[in-house]
Amino acid sequence: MRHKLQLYKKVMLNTIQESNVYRANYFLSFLCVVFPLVGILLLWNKIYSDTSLVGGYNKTLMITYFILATLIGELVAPCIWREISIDIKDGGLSKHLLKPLQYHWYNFSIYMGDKVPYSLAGFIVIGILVFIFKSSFYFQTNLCNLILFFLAVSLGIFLGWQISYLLSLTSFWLEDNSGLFGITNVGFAILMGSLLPLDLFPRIVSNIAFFLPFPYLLYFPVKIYLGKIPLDEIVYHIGFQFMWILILLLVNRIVWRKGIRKYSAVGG
Amino acid sequence: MKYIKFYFNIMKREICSQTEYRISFWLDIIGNLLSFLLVLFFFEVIYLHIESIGGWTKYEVIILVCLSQIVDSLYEMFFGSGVTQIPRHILQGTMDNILTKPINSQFFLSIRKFRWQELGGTIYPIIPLVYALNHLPVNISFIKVVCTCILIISGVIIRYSFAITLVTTSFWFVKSEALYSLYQELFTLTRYPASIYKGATKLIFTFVIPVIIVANFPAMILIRSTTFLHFFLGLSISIFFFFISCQFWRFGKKHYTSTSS
Repeated sequence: MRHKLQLYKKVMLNTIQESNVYRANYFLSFLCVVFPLVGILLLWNKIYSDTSLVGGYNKTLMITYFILATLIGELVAPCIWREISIDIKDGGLSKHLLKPLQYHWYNFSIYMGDKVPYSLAGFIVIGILVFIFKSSFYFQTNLCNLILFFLAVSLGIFLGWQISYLLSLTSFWLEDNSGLFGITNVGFAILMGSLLPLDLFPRIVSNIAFFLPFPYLLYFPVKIYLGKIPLDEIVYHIGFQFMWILILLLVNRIVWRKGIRKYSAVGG
Repeated sequence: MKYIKFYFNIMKREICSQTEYRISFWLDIIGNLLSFLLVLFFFEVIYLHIESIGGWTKYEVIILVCLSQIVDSLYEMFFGSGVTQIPRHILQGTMDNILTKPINSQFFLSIRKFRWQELGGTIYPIIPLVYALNHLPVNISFIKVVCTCILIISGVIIRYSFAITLVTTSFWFVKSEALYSLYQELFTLTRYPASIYKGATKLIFTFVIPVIIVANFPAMILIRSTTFLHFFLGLSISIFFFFISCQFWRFGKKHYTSTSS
């Protein structure tokens, strides 16, 4: 068991090292996320010059919501699905089946290896933004909220991985699933709460979202940071996060079993 | 004349090659439509809670978003794919084939891919556009529509000039793809009302990186009783940037050293 864990750790460290070579790219790709964010922040800045409260959020909370949502949105966003799809399509999966590592956890290590340097670049860029907007950034000082926030974010990242993996596994059945990701991204933006805080939406939309795993990726962690959820409710939401992770782990296992039976090792 | 005939041939060829993968062709179209609807939805929800953004009402912003989408789609349809392939031609040395052709190299490289998928994006925004215009107390005269169309075209020219300037840098630098996606993100700012910028940012976004001109100017011509100062300003800035980018391309081309063999 320990030996295996070390192997997974090694895979992750390798990925981090690889991405370290393209450090400049990380910053550029993070700037790509920051430009739209600056647009949104300026938009809210203007909106709050006429009013002091929008749907229960004051300016500080709103600006903080969007800065955090951008960072977390990147952390939970699907990635490496392209690699997995190519593995399945071109028969590259065969060699992974022979390795003493489980494909799911092997890819999770790569996923984490991708996210770690990205989040470091993200923290630096976000830090600069917080510095610029510091008069309207909400600093949470309650230690309990901060700890629960980090716990919720970590669970959210893991949940994001499960969803991303489930979507990648569709390539057992779909000829080309890149269009699928384009479409689901729009749904994600609404349901996670990265477009707007979910409680600003019409009731129907937010009620649908709360029945799905997506708000647990982004909306709830950010709300915990903002201190807008009472403590006993936080515990309850984190329970839901665990529940969704377990459900998706199970679903992924079933889908994988079904898919591998269909897998024909093209070119293998 | 020769150029027009040539262009029709390209359009014919492209519809064949793109519809070959039918499902991804349609998924592309649906994805485009959804991301447009996402922006509309974003503003719909915001306007549930507020009245105006710095003097822009909901219907005015809808018009702005539609115009921004039309400019975007026009750019992507005519130039997008062609322009993004230029760095590869420069890196791999396939520019040789193009430079030896009896046609203007910048023209040829920019228009050689026609993206039919984007055609929808130039048409469906017209529906919410007309719907929003009906809710606004403005008189639409023929001359206004013509001026708006001309400003839409100058918006496309600005988009194009910036893109071509960026990819021209790949005559010197290897990594221009990352810069290109940065540019794409920058021009998503066109959909916000100009009133959110003030002071220096406003000047920069009008004259240096003219994201304000791209969609805000045509929208203002259409719905505000602004003077035609906007019209001439928009037009002359776009011509200026186009001229600069052509010069820059010519300058960059001189630095081209065929890489392969």
